[in-house]
Amino acid sequence: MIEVDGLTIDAGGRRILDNITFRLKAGGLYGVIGPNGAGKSSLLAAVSGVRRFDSGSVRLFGRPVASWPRRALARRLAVLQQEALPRTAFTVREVTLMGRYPYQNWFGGQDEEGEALADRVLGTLGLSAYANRRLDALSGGERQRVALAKVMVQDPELLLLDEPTTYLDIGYQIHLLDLVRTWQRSGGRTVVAVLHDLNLAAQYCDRLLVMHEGRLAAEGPPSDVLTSATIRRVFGVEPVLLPHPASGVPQLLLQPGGLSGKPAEIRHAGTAAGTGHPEREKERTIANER
Amino acid sequence: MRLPIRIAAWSGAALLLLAVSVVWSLSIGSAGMPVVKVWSILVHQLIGGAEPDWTPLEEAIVMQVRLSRIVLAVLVGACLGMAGAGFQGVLRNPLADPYTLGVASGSSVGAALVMTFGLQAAIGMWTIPAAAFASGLLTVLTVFVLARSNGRMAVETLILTGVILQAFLGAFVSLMIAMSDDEVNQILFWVLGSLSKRTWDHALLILPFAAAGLPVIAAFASAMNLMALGERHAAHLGVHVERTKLLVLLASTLATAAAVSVSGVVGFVGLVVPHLIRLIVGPDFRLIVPLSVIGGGIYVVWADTLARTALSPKEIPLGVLTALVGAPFFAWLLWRRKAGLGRGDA
Repeated sequence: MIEVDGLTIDAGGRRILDNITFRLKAGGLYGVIGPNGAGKSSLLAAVSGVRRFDSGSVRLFGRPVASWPRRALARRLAVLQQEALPRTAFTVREVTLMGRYPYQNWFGGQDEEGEALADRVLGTLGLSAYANRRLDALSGGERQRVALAKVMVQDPELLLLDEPTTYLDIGYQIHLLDLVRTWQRSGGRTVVAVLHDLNLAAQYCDRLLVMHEGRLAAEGPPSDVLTSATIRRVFGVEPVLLPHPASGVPQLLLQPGGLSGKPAEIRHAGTAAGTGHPEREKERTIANER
Repeated sequence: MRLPIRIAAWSGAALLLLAVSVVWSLSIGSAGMPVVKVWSILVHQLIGGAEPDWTPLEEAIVMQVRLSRIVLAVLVGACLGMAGAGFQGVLRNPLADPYTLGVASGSSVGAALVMTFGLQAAIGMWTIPAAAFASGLLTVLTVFVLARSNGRMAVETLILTGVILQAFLGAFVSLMIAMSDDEVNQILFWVLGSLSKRTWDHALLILPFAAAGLPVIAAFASAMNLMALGERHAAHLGVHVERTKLLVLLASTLATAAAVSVSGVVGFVGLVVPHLIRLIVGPDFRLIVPLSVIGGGIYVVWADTLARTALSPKEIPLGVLTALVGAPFFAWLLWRRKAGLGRGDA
């Protein structure tokens, strides 16, 4: 499904991604974790085809990502971004139906299948009562759920999530990830999610990719990957690891003063002023055009 | 209601309003002709019949003076309304209008240079329109080149570059106005916009730009809807974001430059008409684009009718009137909406 070979990106004199190679098979929920500036979002942007890379190759569904026509790719690949949808005057239902754009003609209205799917998805996400409300009347968490409805209506085989829970409280975080996992399992789909919270990543993901300074530091099931040694090396934190009482997956406790050496974030903030900022890196990748 | 029906219903209503506006405008003027006579002349010209009971002079006033001017007003308004919708759609900025990227000040520089050096007749009566069109287009292309980096044009950079170039060229025009001794009024009046002393040829000149621009901008209406969610969202849904921006801005700019080259700088139409339409029909560009074309036409017909009749025999500059009447009206509409609904429009 995803084949990445020797993927390398340089920007502003800094190596963002350094010779990344991995394969992800169809069907599964994969997590990408790592400290700020490790290259997680850049990796996702390169895989989704909106960011050019300097060398290496990215193949999706057996074909180089750059060779996919945008609309054809949008029928098989969707991306849920970190930022919630903006406050526009469009209604929840209108925005949800925008997910059908890659399937539609100019009028858009004749897509019976899409309308039915939108109704089902809005029901699943508990948004039916909001269908005719405008986005500018919703909270951030509600708008993020609408964004999820939009990508579900897009009906892709592969969904990429870029820190989808960042601005959500813990209730919404669990809710969103539950919905994503159920959706992924029910349709035999594939989800790759950049996640900030290691404990959530361990509980929801089948396998984890650990990024560190632009490289792939580890890859495997959470119980193999989330070890004291890896966390110390990658995050610069001295962890306390416990098995989750219910599921047995490793869970991480933090402790005051538990830094092992300089944390990665501080090291990154010092290099190449301005270029290492993850938000600014994201800006740069927005919507390129082939 | 299904979208095609909504588009047809709204467009039908808007076209009806346009027709009524044209009839109204055609029927009033300084020559003091009875409305019945105006219509007899028009019907006679269109379908023939009826022995003329009017003088050739009266016929010329209706057909050559009034009708040509009204048709030109419709076309100028259509170009500006359409371009405004296009600019607001791809720049996703409520303050964007057809002049944001510097067409107006660019065209003004071209026209002002021609007038300053007394070259009005260098290539016949079309010298000023040709110079204005060329310099306006050149200005926007310069903005495109300056704002382009890594194969894409960032919206913020585009707007900033446009605003800066606009300020620079505006200063240049002001300099020429201040420096010229006897041409002051000429440049100033061109900059303020007017439709007086224009002919059918002027209308014919900008018709192709309006006719060619509309299908291009309308074709990207769905894409502009998705871009309202942000360029990234649109890209992930299969929109060619950079292609959309370039083609919509180019089509809008050509239509604007054509309108400005024959009418001077008629402000406010391209800003306010798409906003008005959005307040009435909502954020869907598949409705906003066609309705802005018609709405722009209606707006300029009304404004120009007032411009030529309100202080007759003196003419009020059209660009002055569009803002003088439009701004308070728009403010009132925004205020009423805020008071009534308690929520803004993104």
